Amino acid sequence: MRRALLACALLLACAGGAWAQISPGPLSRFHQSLEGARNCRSCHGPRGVTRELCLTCHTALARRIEAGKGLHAREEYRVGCERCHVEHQGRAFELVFWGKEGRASFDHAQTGFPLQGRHAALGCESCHGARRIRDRAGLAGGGVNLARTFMGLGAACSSCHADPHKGQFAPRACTDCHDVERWKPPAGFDHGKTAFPLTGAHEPVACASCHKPGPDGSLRFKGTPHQTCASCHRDPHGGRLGASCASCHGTAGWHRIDPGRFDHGKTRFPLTGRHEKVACAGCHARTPGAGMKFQGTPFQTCASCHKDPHAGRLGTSCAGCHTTAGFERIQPGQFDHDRTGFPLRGEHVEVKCDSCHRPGRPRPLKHARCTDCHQDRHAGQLAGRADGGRCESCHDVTGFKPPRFTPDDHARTRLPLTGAHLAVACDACHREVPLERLRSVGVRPPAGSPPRTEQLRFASSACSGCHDDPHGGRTARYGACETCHAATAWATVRFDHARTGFPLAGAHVRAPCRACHPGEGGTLAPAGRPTSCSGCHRDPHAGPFARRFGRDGRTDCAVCHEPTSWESMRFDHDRRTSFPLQGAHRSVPCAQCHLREEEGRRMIRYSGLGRTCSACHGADRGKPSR
Amino acid sequence: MATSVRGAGGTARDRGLFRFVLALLYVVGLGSVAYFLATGAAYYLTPIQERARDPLYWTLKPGGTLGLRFGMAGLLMMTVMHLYSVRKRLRPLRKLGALRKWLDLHILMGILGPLFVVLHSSFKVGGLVAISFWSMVAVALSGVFGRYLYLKIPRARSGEELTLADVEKADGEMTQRLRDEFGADPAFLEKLDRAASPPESAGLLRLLVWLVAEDLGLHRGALLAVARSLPGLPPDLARELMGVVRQKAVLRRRILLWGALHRIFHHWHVVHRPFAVVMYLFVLVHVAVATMTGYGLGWP
Repeated sequence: MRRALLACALLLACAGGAWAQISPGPLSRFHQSLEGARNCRSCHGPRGVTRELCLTCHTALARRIEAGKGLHAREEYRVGCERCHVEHQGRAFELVFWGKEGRASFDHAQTGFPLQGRHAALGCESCHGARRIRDRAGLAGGGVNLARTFMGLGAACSSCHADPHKGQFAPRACTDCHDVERWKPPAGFDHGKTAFPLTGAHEPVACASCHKPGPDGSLRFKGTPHQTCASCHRDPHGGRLGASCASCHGTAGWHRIDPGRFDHGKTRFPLTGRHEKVACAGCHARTPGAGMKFQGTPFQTCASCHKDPHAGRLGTSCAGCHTTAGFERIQPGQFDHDRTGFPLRGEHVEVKCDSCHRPGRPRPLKHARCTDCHQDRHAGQLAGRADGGRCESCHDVTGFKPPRFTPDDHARTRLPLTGAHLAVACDACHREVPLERLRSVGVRPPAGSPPRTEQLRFASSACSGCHDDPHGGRTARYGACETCHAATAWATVRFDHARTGFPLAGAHVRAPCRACHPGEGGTLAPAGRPTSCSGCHRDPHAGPFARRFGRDGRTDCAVCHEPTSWESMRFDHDRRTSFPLQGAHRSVPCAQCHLREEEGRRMIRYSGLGRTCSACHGADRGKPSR
Repeated sequence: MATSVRGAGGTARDRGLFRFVLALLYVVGLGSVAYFLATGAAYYLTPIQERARDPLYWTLKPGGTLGLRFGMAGLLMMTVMHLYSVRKRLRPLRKLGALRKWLDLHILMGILGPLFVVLHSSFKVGGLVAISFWSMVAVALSGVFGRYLYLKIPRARSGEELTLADVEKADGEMTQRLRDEFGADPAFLEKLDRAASPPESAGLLRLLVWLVAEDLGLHRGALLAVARSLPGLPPDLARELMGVVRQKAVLRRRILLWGALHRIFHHWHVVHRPFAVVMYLFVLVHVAVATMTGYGLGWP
């Protein structure tokens, strides 16, 4: 009993002072008024701290949540308020936890108003302040501390920004023209949709140049006069050309007169040809302070504007030759070239003017030498000639070909034309060759020469300069071509055959060269032939004398035959056979004893005849001895 | 072959099984506390002002998903521990296990319960419940002291307190053994009684200090000197004599301090129980307030 009393006394001693300490910790300064055991149920219910209990006091927030607006209306924030706004942590504890990285890391898009453009760089206080809260009384009545709250701002631009247009565009929204990136220029505004679309030089003009401030100091955008140019512009013509600026000028620029607008044809100087493209200032000179001068512009003669490039040599009537189509374009048939120092003759008559009078060539044109206009087709091959290779020596204005170069002229060269050469066409010898070949004979082609041209210069006048050697060089030991051939004809040959070691005699003199010297392609093979009879002649005896009278296995025809004729015999029957002819035998013709035989082939038997009388004079005549 | 010796505290097998289960409960309980301390160390070491922003706040704060369960577990343990008091006081329950086992369970719950309550508090103590908390601390610490005193009062194996006559009888038996086995003469026994005696006319606090010094072995030198005064004993017999001398000294001290220990134990009850009552009363208030403010069994 004593113990129980002691416990109760201890309990009462502690409980009296501790009842106020039933809270787990002091409330924050914002909920300070709720401190005390009697107020626990203000926030705590049987199910703990609930949103409903919090919103019982925070009515302004409750209204926003109910309206589905703001951060707290988002689904992820539909948890217990104490999850973010932790209480019982002491007076100094901040109820709003912005995250470890602080308030600057807050994703403002969660509030339904994402910070974009220039808004993103602003601090919270730039927008959230008591002075910008629209319904101050309502929020204050709902227990909201206006100095601290983030509620109360509207999403409209005018919640934070003043209207520099002073309501001119009401009820349109600012964002119809402006965006969050910049105020000027208004990104969403299209002047083209107004009654005065901006074109040309009007486009870069600053707004304030046309839209002047009104009495309240704001630029007036509505009711800006724009019906005539004079609404904004001063007339630099001083009214001299009337009030309709647009009949000459466009918005492309004051000085850019639109040809489609201004009709110069109505003036005393209609523009034609190249004049149409000339800028106004090209003729209408500017005068200081007064712009271009249009009236009183001299135009009676071309020289009023143009300088005479002929320096007066061709008179003062430019139109005699030229038109407005262009200075270079001379009127056909209008210009008499004979008035110049170069009358046109021959082929020159048909040449187009600009073939010689090309743009950029120095004037007056040089014409003393053909090469002033023409290229040297011979690539300088004739430059070494006594006249310097002047074209007129061979050519005239009637045409480059044929040249006036006769065989008489050719006779003054190293190769006078004679014989068959007279009938040869020029280009048979003077063929087109590349310039490299000309360089090999000492020619130095000037720059601009054609890559190929007819060869007029040769290293020598020898036959080999034009002709190939059909003998393949085998006759070189007898001298040049002229040793045997003449210019009259190739086939006419004059040659001393004795120089070959095989003097022609007898029938050989009459034999044509080709009979002994047949060559390929109709040419002769004059050298390398054997000098023995068998080199050219076939053995009609089919070889029986080769052993008896021959040398080196070949029949020595000269033992029996002479060069004069095959039938001309000189056989010593006494010495060379074993049957010396005696008596009547001496006058007997050969064929009487050496008969012809027809045994498959034609031949005369000279050997193997019988020595007996009956061999010739009997029935066995003509048969071979046994 | 297992022996089964039946005594007041049950068979040896029963006692071994009980000790094993008890050790297992200590390991599981203390291990759980160590685990929760380790996993929540980052939160518990965070300054109290910054804890609300810690990711573990809603888990480990006193009303958190885990923190509230710590409190419930601690309260449950500290409720269960009073089965010991019930068992001790209600006569019909006396046959329901040995009182020593109930005390061991009481001590187990008395250690683990406050530790879970400390986890529940997350080392933040304030407000009304702080009275309960510090009362709990006082009860727990006094429990440790009470256990110490409990060991100083001679008891039977079942845990029942021995009477002074029982202790004096045991002391007489020990005196007879010294005479018979070691040839102790009256002079030796008188020296032994003097060495074992606490200082005369000492207050209760001084006696407590003397007891602690005895447990620390600070008085062993005097006993050793007495034991060596008996000459002619072989070494092994001399060692046995030292053991008998120590037991005899303990019995002697218990007899001499019999009245003093019981007075101290009486005063201990005066401290231990009222603090426990205060603790439970404020816990009831704490639980009631928590339930009213939404921290009931169903939350969170």
